[in-house]
Amino acid sequence: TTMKLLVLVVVLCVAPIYANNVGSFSQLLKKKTHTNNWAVLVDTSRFWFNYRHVANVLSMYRSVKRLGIPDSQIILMVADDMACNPRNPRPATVFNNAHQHINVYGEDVEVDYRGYEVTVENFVRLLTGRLTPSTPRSKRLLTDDGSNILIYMTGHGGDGFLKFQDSEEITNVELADAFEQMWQKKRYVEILFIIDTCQAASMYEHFYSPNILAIASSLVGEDSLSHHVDPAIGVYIIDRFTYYALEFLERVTPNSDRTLAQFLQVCPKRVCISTVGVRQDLYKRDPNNVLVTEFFGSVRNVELTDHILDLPKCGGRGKVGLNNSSGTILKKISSPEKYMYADQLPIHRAS
Amino acid sequence: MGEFAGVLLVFLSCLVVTGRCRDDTFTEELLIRPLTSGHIYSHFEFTTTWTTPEITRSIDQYRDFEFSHYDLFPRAFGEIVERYHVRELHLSLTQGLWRHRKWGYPIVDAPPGAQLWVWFNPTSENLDQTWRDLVNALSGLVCASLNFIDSTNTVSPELSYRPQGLAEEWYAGNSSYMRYAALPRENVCTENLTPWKKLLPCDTQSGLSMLLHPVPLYTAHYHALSLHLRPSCKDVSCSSVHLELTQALSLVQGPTLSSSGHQDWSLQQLFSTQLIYTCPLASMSKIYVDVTGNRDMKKFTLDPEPDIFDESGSGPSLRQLAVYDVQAALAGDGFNIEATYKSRHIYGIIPSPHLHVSRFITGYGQEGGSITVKFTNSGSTSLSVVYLEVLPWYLRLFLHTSHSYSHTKSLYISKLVTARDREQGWLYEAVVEIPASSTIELSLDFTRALLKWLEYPPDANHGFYIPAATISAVLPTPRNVSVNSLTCSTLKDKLVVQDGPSFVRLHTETLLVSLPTPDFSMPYNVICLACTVVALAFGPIHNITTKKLVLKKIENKESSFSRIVHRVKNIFKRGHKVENDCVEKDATKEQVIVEENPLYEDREDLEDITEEDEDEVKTSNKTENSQETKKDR
Repeated sequence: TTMKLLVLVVVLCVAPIYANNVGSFSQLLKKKTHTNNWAVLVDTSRFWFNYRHVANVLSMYRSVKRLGIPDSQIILMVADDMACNPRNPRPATVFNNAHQHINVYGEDVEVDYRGYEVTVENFVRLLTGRLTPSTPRSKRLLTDDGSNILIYMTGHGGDGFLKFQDSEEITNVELADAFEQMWQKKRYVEILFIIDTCQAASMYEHFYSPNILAIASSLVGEDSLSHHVDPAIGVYIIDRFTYYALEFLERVTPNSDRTLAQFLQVCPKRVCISTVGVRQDLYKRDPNNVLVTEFFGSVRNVELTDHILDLPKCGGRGKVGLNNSSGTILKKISSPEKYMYADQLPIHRAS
Repeated sequence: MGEFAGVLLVFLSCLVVTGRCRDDTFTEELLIRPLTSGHIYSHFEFTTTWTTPEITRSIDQYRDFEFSHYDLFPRAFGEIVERYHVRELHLSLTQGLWRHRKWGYPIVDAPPGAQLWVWFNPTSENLDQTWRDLVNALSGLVCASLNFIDSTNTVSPELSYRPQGLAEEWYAGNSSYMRYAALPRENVCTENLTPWKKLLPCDTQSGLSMLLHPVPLYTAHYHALSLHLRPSCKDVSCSSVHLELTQALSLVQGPTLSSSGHQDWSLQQLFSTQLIYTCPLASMSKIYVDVTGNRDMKKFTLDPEPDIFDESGSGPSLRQLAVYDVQAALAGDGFNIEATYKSRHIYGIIPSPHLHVSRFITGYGQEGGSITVKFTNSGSTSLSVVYLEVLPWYLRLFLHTSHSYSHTKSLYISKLVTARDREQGWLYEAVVEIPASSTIELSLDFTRALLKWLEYPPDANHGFYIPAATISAVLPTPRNVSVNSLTCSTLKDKLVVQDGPSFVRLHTETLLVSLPTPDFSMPYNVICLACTVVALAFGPIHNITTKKLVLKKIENKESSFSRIVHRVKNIFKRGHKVENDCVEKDATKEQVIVEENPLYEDREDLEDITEEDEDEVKTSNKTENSQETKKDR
């Protein structure tokens, strides 16, 4: 028993030291903020009468791009083409307003996944990073453990699912698991998840990974409503939540000090008709202290250092180890004496 | 000696000024051609050429390119070319159909949708895998769904799509180095224009690319973006070679008729902007207006006056171009070219070009049909053309039904690849001879396959697109042909008419085929119906089969108080129960109801009772006593 007592005393003395270390580490974690911003903007609806969903996602794209996130860090998924659709009387434009206030399609848009490529499988692969080796860089979510990600989804949804292109669904359980995979692989620091569909709050019910703040345009049992119809086009042109969110974001500049708490109030019940749902229990920070531009823009901490790195001299292609013309050449070809063009139609001609 | 010193001086000054003498050049040119149908055809061509000793060696020895020190050549594209063993690449994204019958032959012909054909360097690697990786990389570069190109829509035709760059016979004749695929469903919009513009050295800040605003471009009747990479000779003498990247944009815009019916047009009207800045990286920046037949400015006048006139060709292939040097003209403010017509536009009969082709589907129903292609040769000599058809596997062709409606002397198939379900599509390449001044029709029957449930796209009822067929021909004269030589790099040289046989490549329309589509809501409907039937039918059937029906006397209705009194009396008068019953039942007529009784053994009794009930009903008069006796029994 004296032995046990001694061990106990030792443990009790040593434990506080460890606790201190752990405490300082967690304090360090709290101080650690993001270093880069990414955005994943997804529209899952096809067909002309879902014009408003494309307008929704392009409104977000426009805001995010205007506030500084570069195209290489935005993944835009649009399931159907509305701007150059034959039914669009104003080609190459998608407006957020029947009075054509803002052309959210713009002149500088880059869509990464379009048309039939917007599927549940591609979306989950994008989030978790399990893509085929030949996927180009613009279609990859190359986030690291210093990334803040804004994920915006819009389309038709129901209690526990979101419909992709009228042929498949993603459930809230799959989405929660995808986020957990991202957390395990340290692919984000914080996620702001916004969803604008009917019964949107059901999509964030099953999240269990830390540092996710989720905003939904309607609670379970409510429908998200669209804003107004454009009589020239004949379809609803934008949804209420995104319309007011865009209005709010249009007044945000890259050095603005608007907070996320103000963004959460962007659509009160009297204008949105549905109740905006927020899930904050997984998010440690207080939204009153978080700037909107920490997710929508590219505002991050810059650490100035005096430490000089000594980079080794590069010796050219061979030194760097680049593959020289794919290995074997099939046969040794000498320079031709005379250059010639191929015969374009090598057939025996009638004339 | 003096000359040597002079050359040395020039060389040294070159080095001093630029660091090294420039080995890449960039030119931008625009051709505007008013068409007889009232439309305006605009063609932008941005050409970047690059010469280095490494590039020359790669071209000579058919090895992969090794690029270093990117300057004007776009790096994003160069890295893809380097990595995937590309020697020659042609990519086009088109919206709309080019109407050969009315508009002649364009400078670059492209079918609706996306089309990609690539000649690879001879390597030991698996070219199919390289092709898959290349299309994925290109889909990221141009923001198009090119990654849907796979083995089911890729072919290697034998005679069509020979290399347009430098190629020797042993290489050009080996079609295994080449891959061709077309995606007719791809649509083109600003998202494809944006990365294409970013490949230009001056982007959209200055130069002719300032004119490229999306809204007028996508309101056009025909819009084609293309990228062409090929190794070619630097000049006509072909003493040195370079790598040439041509970015072309073709537009056909609707007749810009003013209120008085004149076909007036201007740069401001066509592109909704004026030229303001020149591109300092361009060595040449020119605009050509096709004034064939209007050299004396009788039909329409141009303002400002063109700098010079270029003329080439003769007779029906005469071509006259008014040339504007943009770099010289943009000394001050904006530059705008305006054309004013003297008289109203007359929609007359347009003489058809030498060869035009049309393709359509015949038949009805969802089981079969046939593809028919109609060739029209309006010239005075017979033509041999190569007809290439690429079809998906789900149109099962009956090759024995290939026939022509008019007598053809010779039709031989140069390459045929039969389809394998879900693995390989059809390749049908034939050489057809079309006699002079005649129309021939070829048709091929097919039957439609049933796809598996998950192979249908989300909008399956829209139908499936069939890629355009390609017709390659050599016309005897360059009439109507825009470009008929391979040896030139700039549009200026390409537009110089060279008399003699001219090669043209035409594309037909794409087709839309509806396959037998299942009702995708059927599983849901079946589940609902089946569950309803089960719910409605199961209950009663279960009841009937597991429960028994028996007769039960009903008590007549009394008030609850009297019932309580009655019960109290019953407790005391149990023995006289029968008489009491008799007394009560005097007043009321007895009614017999049938009640459930779970005892199965009494089934026989039930039958007896029902029989007797029937007797009762028949007689209709029964005393209470007789009922009592039945009960006792």
